[in-house]
Amino acid sequence: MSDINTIVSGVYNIFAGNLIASVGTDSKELLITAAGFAADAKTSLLAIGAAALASDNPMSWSEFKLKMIEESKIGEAAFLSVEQLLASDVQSFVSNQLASFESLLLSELVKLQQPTT
Amino acid sequence: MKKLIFLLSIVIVSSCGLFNKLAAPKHNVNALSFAQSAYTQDSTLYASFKVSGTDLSYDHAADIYDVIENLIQQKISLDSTRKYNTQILSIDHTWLNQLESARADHQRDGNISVNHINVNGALLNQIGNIAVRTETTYK
Repeated sequence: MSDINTIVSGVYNIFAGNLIASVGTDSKELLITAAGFAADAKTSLLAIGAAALASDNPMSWSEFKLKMIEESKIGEAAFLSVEQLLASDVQSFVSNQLASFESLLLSELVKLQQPTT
Repeated sequence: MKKLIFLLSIVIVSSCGLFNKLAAPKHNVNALSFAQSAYTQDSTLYASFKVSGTDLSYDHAADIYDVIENLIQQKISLDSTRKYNTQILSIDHTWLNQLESARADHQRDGNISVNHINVNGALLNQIGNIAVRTETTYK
């Protein structure tokens, strides 16, 4: 029969392994997302710049300002998206870990309940 | 053993309370589908202008603006019913506002300039991609 130290060590080892693996996977996903958002922002800023400096029918100053304000609002949305990615990762990780804790704990409890012979 | 169970219970309960503050909606197939459809329509609308370059009139595009607006509105209705929806609703509304701004530019100018098309197309592509990516990453 397992003692409490063994139970806790087992749970801890599984948790630590999952945590490291999860952080590695989520970090890669976050980098890809951020790089995609940054590339899109560059395209928009280049389009705004080209329109403002065009020799033929350039954007007016007020149109340029309006588009820059819109770009900043979209930038804010990008940060919200990254925040949601982190939140979703954390939620998923925590719920998986809670399920894992419960399962491990229940199985050990069942073993402890069994009478020793 | 009872102490261990008691301590674990406290950890579980406080974890749930803590992570509610950093929370996201669950993955939703319909919300993702609305976002993908609207994003595709955005891209198609502005790509067609770039290719043809001739018929840039608002009349040519009005129906497509309506379709995209309808898709975003349906997404907003759906997202309003989801748990932890503050951020996704904010992204939805930024998208809708951007669409209305692009439509207003087009209506005001009649035959919108290619410069404006490039700018509005890029901005709508940017926010559409953010919305799709956000829905894709919900677990």
